[in-house]
Amino acid sequence: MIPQKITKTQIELLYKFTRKHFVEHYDVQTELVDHLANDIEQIWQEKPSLSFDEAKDISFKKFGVFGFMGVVEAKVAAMNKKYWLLIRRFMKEFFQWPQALSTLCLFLTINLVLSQEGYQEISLMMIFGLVIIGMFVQLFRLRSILKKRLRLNDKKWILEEMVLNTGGMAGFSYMPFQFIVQFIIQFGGDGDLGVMAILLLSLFLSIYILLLYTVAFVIPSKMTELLEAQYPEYKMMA
Amino acid sequence: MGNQKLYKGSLQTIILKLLSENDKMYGYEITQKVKALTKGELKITEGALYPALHKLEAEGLLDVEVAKVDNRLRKYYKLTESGSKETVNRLAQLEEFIQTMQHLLNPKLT
Repeated sequence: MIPQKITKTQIELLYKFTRKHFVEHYDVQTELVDHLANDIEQIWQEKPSLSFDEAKDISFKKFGVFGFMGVVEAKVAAMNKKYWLLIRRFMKEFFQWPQALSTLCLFLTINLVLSQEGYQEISLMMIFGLVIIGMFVQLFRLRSILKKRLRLNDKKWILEEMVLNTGGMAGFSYMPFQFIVQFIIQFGGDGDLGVMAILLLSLFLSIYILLLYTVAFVIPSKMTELLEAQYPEYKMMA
Repeated sequence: MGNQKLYKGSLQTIILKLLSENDKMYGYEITQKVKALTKGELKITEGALYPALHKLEAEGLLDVEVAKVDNRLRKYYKLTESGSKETVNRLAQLEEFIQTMQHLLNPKLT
């Protein structure tokens, strides 16, 4: 007897089944669908009289009481790690020739602005104001890209979502502000900051701006390339 | 079936070892291979296998390939260069662990 095989329609049903069990991302769905399909075919070899749904339920039970949740969580955690590696990779470029030159320019400009006696607080406010406005405008733009992509294509990819959500970092872009206020109180008191404090602050601000620039501009601009490298199936879908 | 908890810490090493012996493998194939090799003594659960594979992939030890097989997409895993080096390290660590356990369990033999 020829062993029973999963049909194309049943594959579609398995995709639907994973979506019903809270697997939103196509990359995870694909792996789970193949696993379920293999297992169902194996079950059919032992018990050919079982229906597709019966065999599917037996297979799903093997994932335990939490179903696909553990797999999804682990995949998101792994992708989060990958995303940080990407940030590290692109950030490193800012400290390598020739980009190191622009990094140096950024640092010197911030240092020069902050060195103007009597204008330190207002300068800091302005730098922060510009960074935060820039970030929120870009975040808004990226969100609309994500919405548009989902409207055009129902397939969601974990990395795509992370890239277009700036890894959740844009929303926290205002947080170092508190740290800087504390820093000024600590080192400046009522007067201006000293040369060393200005140097430290300029260094911190430069890295902070480069980090935000990387997550909000550099990585999103390379999204297609990154998705193709991460997901071989992404190209096949295009 | 043996105590599965004892195998838990070695799951990643088992996966790396299997991949070092096979050019590329997919998730279900790994579970079946382990089951066959251990004559059913060790059953890698689905809930443990994929998190382990994804972790190894994120660490850059595994690379992924996708192929269309029987009207569906199949994700294959294979060792990267650093994955091959890490397999050697992890196998050595596992050997050491086994030897230490043997010393602990059979002190007279040493």
